[in-house]
Amino acid sequence: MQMSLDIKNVGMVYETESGHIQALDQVNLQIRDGEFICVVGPSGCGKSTLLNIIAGLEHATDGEVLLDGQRITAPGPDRAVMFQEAALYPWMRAVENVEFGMKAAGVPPQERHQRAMKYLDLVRLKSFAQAYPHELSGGMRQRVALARALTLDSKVLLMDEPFAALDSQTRNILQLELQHIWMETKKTIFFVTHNVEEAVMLADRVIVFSAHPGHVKKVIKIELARPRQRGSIDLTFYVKSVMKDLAEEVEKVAKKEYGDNWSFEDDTVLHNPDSDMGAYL
Amino acid sequence: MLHWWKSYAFPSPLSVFQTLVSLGQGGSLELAVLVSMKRMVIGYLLSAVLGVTLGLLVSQMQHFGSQFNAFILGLQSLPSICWLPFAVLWFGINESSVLFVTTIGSTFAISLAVISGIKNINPLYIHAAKTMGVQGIMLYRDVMIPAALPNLVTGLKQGWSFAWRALMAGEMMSSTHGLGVMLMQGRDFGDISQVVAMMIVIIVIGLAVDRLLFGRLERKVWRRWGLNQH
Repeated sequence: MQMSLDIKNVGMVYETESGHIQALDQVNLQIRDGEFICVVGPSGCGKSTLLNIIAGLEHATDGEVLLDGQRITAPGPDRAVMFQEAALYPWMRAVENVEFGMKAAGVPPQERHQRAMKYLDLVRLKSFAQAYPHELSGGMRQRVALARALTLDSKVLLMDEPFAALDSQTRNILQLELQHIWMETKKTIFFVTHNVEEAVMLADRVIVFSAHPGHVKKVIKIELARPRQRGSIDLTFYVKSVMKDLAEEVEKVAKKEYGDNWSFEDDTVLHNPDSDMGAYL
Repeated sequence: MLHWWKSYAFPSPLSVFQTLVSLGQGGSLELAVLVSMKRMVIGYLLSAVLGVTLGLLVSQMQHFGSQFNAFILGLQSLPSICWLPFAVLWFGINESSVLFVTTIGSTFAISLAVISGIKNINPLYIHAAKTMGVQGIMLYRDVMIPAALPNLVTGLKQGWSFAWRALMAGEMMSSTHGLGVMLMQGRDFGDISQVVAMMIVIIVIGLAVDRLLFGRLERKVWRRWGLNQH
């Protein structure tokens, strides 16, 4: 299998007034062409920083990222990015937003309109092509952003918690749509999320990140046939095993924030006299 | 008539109205409006071009941007009529010095609006554009300027009212035609009705342009951009 992204010894140090913060340390990851990678980890573990480095929006202080053997130094249309917010331009109609990336690439107007409409159809928003972003719901905006990312026809799609701000029904629908789109287009997808179920549902491999400093803790291969169904027993099994790895990391972060004597079991279950099921009545 | 009412100190609405009508019939009011509006349009357009250019330049600066910003802020705090002696020494007491005062009266306000408009662009808009391969002039033309437009329009509107004040002050001090001049004439003739009549004309024109032209434009842009503060 051909390599698409090669993340080599990537480290990231932020200089702040209170000293320097090691956000990423010795991150190594090889991603195959057409692979769907999901990265999960506690908040602040540097998973979004890694995505930004791959996108070229931030520069690693150590190591490098190669795309098809070429070192990444700046953002470019060969790596489409979808952010947590749709990042649509409010002064453009939905279809103009979708066309914008192609406009930068110099695609002639006629062709870019046709392609934009094709992708809007793919995310089922053809009838909203003329709407302005503020006239659309959050889920619709995110679908327009997805259409825009797809039109760039990049080999790599970077997604930074794209469904995190949506309500759960919308999120479920979009996960199913993304699964189908990936099966159709076979893009390499690097998907950052804090939702384990989402990660297991979508990924070929789930990368569990540990925090302080951020590095790859574990790589879990999800060997399940597609299309996957939410709530199936196989999926639940994988979710539990990823959760276990993640729980240690979340606890580590929680201890740092709430103090060393904080413990998952004692402090997340509230003790109250009514939980004895009436034994002392 | 009541005894405490001195019509030479404060005119009755009727006499103000009569003065307006007679000034209008004589044609001098229309001429003054025309002269003032011509200066206003020229001075304001100049200041819009200068202000936007200066604002874009300063927001481009990597190193001395904040110093320049402070400098412009300082110049903005100077009442524009204080530029008149400077202008008179440069151009003499003529059309140019009045235009200069009008222009300079709104240039810095517009610059500041451009600078803050660019500074407050959602960084996500720029990130998204860069990941799509948008750069250089296209980044400015298609992303940054439209993104800053709501603030820019508000700045242009504010600039108009600054320019209007500066023009009136300039005309009163160093001109021979225009609304400001007619206001001063009222004082010279001791005609309080004309003074108040001209004040009303100046208010009405200022307000009309502000509300009808800029207010509408501003509402339209803000609504189109999905911002609902107006």
